[in-house]
Amino acid sequence: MTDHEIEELLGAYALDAVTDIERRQVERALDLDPRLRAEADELVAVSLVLAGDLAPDEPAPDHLWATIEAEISPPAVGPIHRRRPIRRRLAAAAGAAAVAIVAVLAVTVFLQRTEISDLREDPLASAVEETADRAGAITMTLSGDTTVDVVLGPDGVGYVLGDELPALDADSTYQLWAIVDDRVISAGVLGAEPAVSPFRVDGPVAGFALTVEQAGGVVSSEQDPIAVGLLEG
Amino acid sequence: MPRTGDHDEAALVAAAHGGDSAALERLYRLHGGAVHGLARRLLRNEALADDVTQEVFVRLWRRGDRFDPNRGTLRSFLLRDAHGRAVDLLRAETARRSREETDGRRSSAVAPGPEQEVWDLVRSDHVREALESIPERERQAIALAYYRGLSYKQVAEALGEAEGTVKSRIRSGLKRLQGPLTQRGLTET
Repeated sequence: MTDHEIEELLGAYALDAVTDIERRQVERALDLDPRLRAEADELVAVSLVLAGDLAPDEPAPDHLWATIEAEISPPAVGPIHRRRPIRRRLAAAAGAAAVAIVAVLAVTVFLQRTEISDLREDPLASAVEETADRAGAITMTLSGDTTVDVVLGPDGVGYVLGDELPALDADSTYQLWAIVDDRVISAGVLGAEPAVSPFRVDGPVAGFALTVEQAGGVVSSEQDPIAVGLLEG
Repeated sequence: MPRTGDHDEAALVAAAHGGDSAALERLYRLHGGAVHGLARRLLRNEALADDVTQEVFVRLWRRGDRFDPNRGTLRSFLLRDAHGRAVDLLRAETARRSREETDGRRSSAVAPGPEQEVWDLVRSDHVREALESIPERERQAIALAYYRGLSYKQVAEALGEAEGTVKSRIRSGLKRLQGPLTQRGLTET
């Protein structure tokens, strides 16, 4: 994405009207360019007036604090498992989960043909960019308790952009699962603090799921996925 | 620059991020109502507003290092986060409705809906006057994006405009809004 294209996106960025991938691209550009940062800050300041206008001065709901407190209680990895998925109700309404592993998850899939060119500082950036630009490649956002982007090339080589995932304890790891022919197979053990992680999967992929497992990963998961995405059709 | 009182909140955020649940509770008591109210007005659903509020404060606990007091108040930081999470849910709902329209009837997945719905969300006369002062097409694009949670691509589809045109209108509209809002002392910068 060029500087001009980033500049054109700043208004939409300020209003949260961009995709997760575009938001990443804009924010990386803002880190590198003070002029863009200054304009973005001005536009965000305007959007914050709209937000402030929407937000009433009222007391915080008492009943919610107990829920939040339970969620932040140790052990550190526990909250991710115990957490009530934010989109569960919407998913239930949609009746969208047809594959066993996603039975308890919400599904939001954004299929995009997206350029990813502002990951230059990452050593795998050019490989991610090349893959995303190939014909037949897809970029999707897995969502649930957290969100994570996955780029999958037509040859089955893909990348998880896990740099925004919260760090886990050292005895835990993120693990990526691919849904292939109604089977759920491990696509990679990503570690406790993943950045950009390559993986390979053979066969027609119907979707991906992300779980938190014990360090080293597992052969088959008994955990609820913390994010999932299905390919439509 | 941080303002008076912001230092206290920054210290509370740091304490919460360091594992002090009492600090997080204090921040929740200070800002939870505004976060919940914003989410409830956008989503028109109490339970989903609960989810958004919970997520915003758990994220503050886990990723409090993302808050920089030099770049704005904590309230603004939390409201921006809440808007982003609420928009995620609005888009998921839009996508669900779109998937349900599979009976051959071709209709827009993101019909704009009555403009009155958007105007009902605007509470302050100052904000309303500022929005009314900019060209209608810019106002329409901003309203659909911000109050209805549509992406600029969805706004373009809903309005039958090119994506580039919508991006430009949102950007120029926000710049145009800056003047009247700043004059009324409503912006932070």
